[in-house]
Amino acid sequence: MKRINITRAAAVASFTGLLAFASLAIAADQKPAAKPAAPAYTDLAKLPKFEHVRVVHATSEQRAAANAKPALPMVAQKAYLDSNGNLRSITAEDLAMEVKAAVPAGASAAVSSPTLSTSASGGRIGLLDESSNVYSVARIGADGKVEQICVDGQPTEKAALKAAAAKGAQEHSHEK
Amino acid sequence: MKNKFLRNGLAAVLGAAALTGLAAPAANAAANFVIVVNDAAGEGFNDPTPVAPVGGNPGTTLGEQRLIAFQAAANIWGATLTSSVTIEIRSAFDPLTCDAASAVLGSAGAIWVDYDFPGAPLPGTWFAGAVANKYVGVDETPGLPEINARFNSNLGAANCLAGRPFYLGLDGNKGTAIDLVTVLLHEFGHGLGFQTYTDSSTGTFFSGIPAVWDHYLRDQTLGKRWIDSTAAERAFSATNNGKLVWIGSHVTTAAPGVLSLGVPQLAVSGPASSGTAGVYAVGTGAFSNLSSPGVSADIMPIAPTTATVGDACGVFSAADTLAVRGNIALVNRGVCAFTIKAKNAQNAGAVGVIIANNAAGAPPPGMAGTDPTITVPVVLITQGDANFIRQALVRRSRNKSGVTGTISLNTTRLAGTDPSGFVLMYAPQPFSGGSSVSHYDVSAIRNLLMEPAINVDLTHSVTVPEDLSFELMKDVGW
Repeated sequence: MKRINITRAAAVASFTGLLAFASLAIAADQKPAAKPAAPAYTDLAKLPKFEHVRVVHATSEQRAAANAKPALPMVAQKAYLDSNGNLRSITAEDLAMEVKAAVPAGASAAVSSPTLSTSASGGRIGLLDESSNVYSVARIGADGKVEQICVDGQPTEKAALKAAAAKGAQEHSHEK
Repeated sequence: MKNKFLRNGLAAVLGAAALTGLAAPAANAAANFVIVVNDAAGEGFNDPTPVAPVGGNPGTTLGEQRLIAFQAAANIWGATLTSSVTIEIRSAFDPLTCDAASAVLGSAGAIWVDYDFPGAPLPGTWFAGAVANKYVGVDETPGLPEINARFNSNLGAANCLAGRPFYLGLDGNKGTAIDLVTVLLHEFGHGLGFQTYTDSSTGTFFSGIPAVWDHYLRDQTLGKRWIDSTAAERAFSATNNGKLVWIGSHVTTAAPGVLSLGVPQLAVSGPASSGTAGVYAVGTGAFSNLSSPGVSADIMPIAPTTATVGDACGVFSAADTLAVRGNIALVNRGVCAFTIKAKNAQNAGAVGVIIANNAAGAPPPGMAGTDPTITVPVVLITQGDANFIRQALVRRSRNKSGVTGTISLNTTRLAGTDPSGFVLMYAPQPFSGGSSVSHYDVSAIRNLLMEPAINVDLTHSVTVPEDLSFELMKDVGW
């Protein structure tokens, strides 16, 4: 018959218990290892200071307004005045009118028929959408050098890229 | 990149008085900018990818370095312009259109424009929002930025101008990469007012109101400013290459301090030249061998060849050799290299070579290639000019035409100006949306920041003596 050393068994049990307690204590001091860190914003306080420039992160409202612009070209950026000449928020009625007046994105009529508003000073404000932006495009030429040119609006920019590709192919075969 | 012929040290003689510009009375220098970061966490300006500091940019993440480059560019304009009202730039890095060989680098523009605001320098005239704020003294559109700027977050990756990323250093040592600070200076310039709001392709005013640019754009063929022209005349003017000038006083006065004397040209004269007599714009190359007063001789075309053989691509025939010996050879572009045509004409005894473009359009493009054994002057003219000159060459003998060509470098004229001394604006044929009108002409030497193509030799300066950007800004109200 096998004899059990009671004293030794008790000692092993106690050590195992200590190990288990220690493991729990260590685990409680650590973050969960498998969960990835959430995306962060650049810490603006770490940036060098420039005399004439400051940087801020857009508020969620500002981001939403800017990002909504392509679907409703004029709405997101328009300034509205109340009866006292002060700026006010857009209303559902304003939105409905803008949607009715909106032209298809990219149509040139969007530039020539803008909605005007009046500023608090009495100035007349015209809003420009991204079709009036100036785009800088680049292509690698037949000689391997990069050429950069300015074009306007998304339709033109896409055409310029297509033209650039076509020109590049032509120059490979007969740039004379 | 354009060739540099002569560096100007002398004042140009201006043929006509420039129109007084609008610069406001100087207040305390400088304007302040706010970069409003429109990117979400973890992307664009918030991209956490670790990077090593580069060229004076101490950022250690991609997002930080992008932001620092934006700040550096805005700071240059901020130290140059004057306004008590902060200028806000809505800024983002997003995936934009691109493929392996071409890409949209970015875009920028004014978000809003303003007319008849208090203190407006001109009545009934559109000004960029940032300019209007300067005069009003408060923000005309609180909560609405003045400039929108979006740049390509994928540039340099596979299938997006592969291997040519933005150089994020601040020192201009870009190598083969694309200098972001230079592109930003250019694009911010458009947003600050270096842009007409008149539709240059149709000549239509934005909402029926002229832009401040229309007061300073003048067509030298029509003899009219855009403000005094019809829409049809403005549309014509937008493609009247070499004839659309800027008449603002600040640009005109400063031009001699920035641009170089020396304009390559072909002058046509002689007893048989008839209506073709005049001065023609030319494209040049590294083998153009231009001089002053240049080389003069009869212009003689060679016999036409087939499309597969190509003019002057082989040894000249006896008849062609007789025609061009001691004369200036006129040959068509195509099939073989510019240098081969020039060398064959030189070997046949030509004292100069005119290559006629084989496609419509203006201005005449530059010529690629090098050959140090070519010693005669060589230029390229537009197809339209060549066809015009050929009318006078119909009646010629086997070795004389009576139509004298002079290929030279005109050292009395600033490169990038018209004969009256006004700075040329870009008005190519065909019309190029976004490039036409709202840029300086590509003939300017030295290269200017606000030309349609961003040249590799640009500095980060927007002021005299390196650049004329700020001078035009002063003309439009800054």
